[in-house]
Amino acid sequence: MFDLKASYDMFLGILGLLPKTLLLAVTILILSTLLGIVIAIIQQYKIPVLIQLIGLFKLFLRGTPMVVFLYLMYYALPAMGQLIISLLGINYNMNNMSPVIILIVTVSLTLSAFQSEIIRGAFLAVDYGQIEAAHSLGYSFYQTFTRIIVPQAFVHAVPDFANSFTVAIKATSLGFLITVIDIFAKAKIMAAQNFRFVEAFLMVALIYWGAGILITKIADRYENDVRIK
Amino acid sequence: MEMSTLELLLEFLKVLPINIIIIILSAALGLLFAILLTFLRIKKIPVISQMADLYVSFARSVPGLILLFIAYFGIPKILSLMGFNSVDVSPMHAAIISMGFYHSGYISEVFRPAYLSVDKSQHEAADSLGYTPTKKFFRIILPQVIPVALPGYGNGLVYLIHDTSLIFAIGVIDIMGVAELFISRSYGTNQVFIYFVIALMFSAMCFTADFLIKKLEKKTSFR
Amino acid sequence: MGKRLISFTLCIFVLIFLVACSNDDKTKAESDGDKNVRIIKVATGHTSKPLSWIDKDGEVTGYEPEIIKELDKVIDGYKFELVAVEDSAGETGLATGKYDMLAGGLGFTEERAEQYIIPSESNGRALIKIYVGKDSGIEGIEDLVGKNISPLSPAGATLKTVKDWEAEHPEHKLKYDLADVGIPMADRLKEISNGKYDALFYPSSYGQIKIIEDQKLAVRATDPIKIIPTFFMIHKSEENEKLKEAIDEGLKKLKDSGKLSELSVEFYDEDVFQYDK
Repeated sequence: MFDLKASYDMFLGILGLLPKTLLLAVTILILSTLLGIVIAIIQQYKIPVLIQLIGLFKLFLRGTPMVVFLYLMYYALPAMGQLIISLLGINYNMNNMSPVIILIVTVSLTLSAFQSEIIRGAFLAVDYGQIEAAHSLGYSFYQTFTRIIVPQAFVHAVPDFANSFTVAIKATSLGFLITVIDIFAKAKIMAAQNFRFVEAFLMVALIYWGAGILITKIADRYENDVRIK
Repeated sequence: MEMSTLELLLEFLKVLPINIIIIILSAALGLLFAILLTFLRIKKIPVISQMADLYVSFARSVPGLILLFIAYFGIPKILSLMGFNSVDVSPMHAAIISMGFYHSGYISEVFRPAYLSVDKSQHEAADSLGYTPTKKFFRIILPQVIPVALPGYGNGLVYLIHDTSLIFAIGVIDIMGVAELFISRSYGTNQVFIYFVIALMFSAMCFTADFLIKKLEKKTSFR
Repeated sequence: MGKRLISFTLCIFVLIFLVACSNDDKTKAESDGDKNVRIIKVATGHTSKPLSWIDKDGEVTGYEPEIIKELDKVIDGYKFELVAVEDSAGETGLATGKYDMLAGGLGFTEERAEQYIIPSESNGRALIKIYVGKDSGIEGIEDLVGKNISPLSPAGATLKTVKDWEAEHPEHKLKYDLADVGIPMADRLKEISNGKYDALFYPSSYGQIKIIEDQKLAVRATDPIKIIPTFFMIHKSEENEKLKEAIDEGLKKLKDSGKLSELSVEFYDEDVFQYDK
């Protein structure tokens, strides 16, 4: 039942798409973290009006499964883009919007709602005594934030960010619905050619696992280096 | 349209318990294993701690669909190769096992940093006051770990809720399944509408989870 | 606290056990029936109307499931049990032996013959057609050079058909992407109708005739560019060799009596056997 030769070929074939998958995931992680920081700050300092808007935004993004959201965006995003550029007076057919962009926007938006929670938790982990000490030393609000809170919160958030990164890697596989090919898509394509689904799924699981180990190792090393013992 | 919308909602309500059972059981199973894993990884016991590392990276990095397939197709196959021929795994079991497995990997990586975020001086203070290790853990450390871990734990729970939709792949009809069936019966002409309804249903479930987490957070926070 | 943790653990395992029992009762009751009848688990699609889907009453139906039900009537010694799952789950489960048979409108290939038992009798025809705008004037693949082709699914015979054609006609180059199944047929046909794409390659067994009629789309199908006999796939094992013979016999009966054509008209709105020479 299990074919070693086919597995080996598949492993190599799938591996070829790992860089692209990781690149997509890194892009998504960066965009969603930036957006997540904005959301977390709005929530932390309870900025009026914006906080209500953010509440609704988060409710929808956290709740909707990404497949569903991607499907809705596949139609909504080009239409919205068309509206915006036609208001700007540019003549361009948004129907040709790259599926890669639709995928990145969709997953980044969803993930940002989760990233904001992680960042909030990281702020909570900073000892309040440190903030008081900073204030008593005459640090300004901005100085306290950038010099005391952010560095400590970041250390705490790294393992959670590693979690998010694995989510981003897996989420890129949804892109196959709209022609973006990542490692999982490649596994499906190769399986469809020789019908070795068991082998394909096991090989792609191995590659995901390898990527996961790498991420855990890097995050651990970073954490060990910076965490105050 | 009116009629079929009502029908759709009734179908959703009928299968909702399936999602809820899977969510509750796999969340509980995941929590249990996550506590064990966190303990193993913090204690740094040689070999066992490394195995726990491998477990965590496998559980959280392999896509839910593959974990589900491994549980549903792989476990009986492996058991039959070992000589237990009549063992079969039901789809519900496969779902609970694979999602509990994923959940444990994800949230153990939330608990571990939360535990480490407790200031070392707190451990020392408790020790100098003559607390036993158990007493120290439950009275001093845990109350400080929980508020820090809760936002990340909430994330894990929401991901778990999303993942229940995968079970339709192996033939259990949950709310995502009902949606897909309604869509296919009409050749996809009503997909946008049904997907909006599904988004609302899942949002409601996640909102409930978030609400419970927020409540716990208020109860446990000091500030 | 420690005690609470232990009782919590126990509760979970009891609950999981209960879920287990509630599931098992049903299968046991069924297998107690007749000892000489072998139960064959047949995997089929759950959202591929009209090939196979689950109807309003929760019944698995469609062209392929209905053939299985007819086979149940004409073959002795076997009882067929339909399990509706996703396509990739069906193929995975067939390889591991979770399912004994797969009914998914699959064609014969060398790779499949290596892994599964394939009956000698086919159960239908997959007709690969090109769906194009009503006034486009496209009649065959050769008219598609330089056209915008809707993404192809790697599963199924469509991609292979196009690739084979490209290999035979190296002077023509087609441009297309691959995409997972998931964007529904109605949307794909609409994209032809509104001009987003010029052509869509697809087997004709996805309800296209009905969709085009109901939605009044300006889309038409070409004559089949390829006709592929489809087969049930059987899990490779010794005891299944006998099952294969029974299936062959049953299918022959159904074909000769015209039942297969009848089902084809009922589900696909055309007799898929009409293109046979």
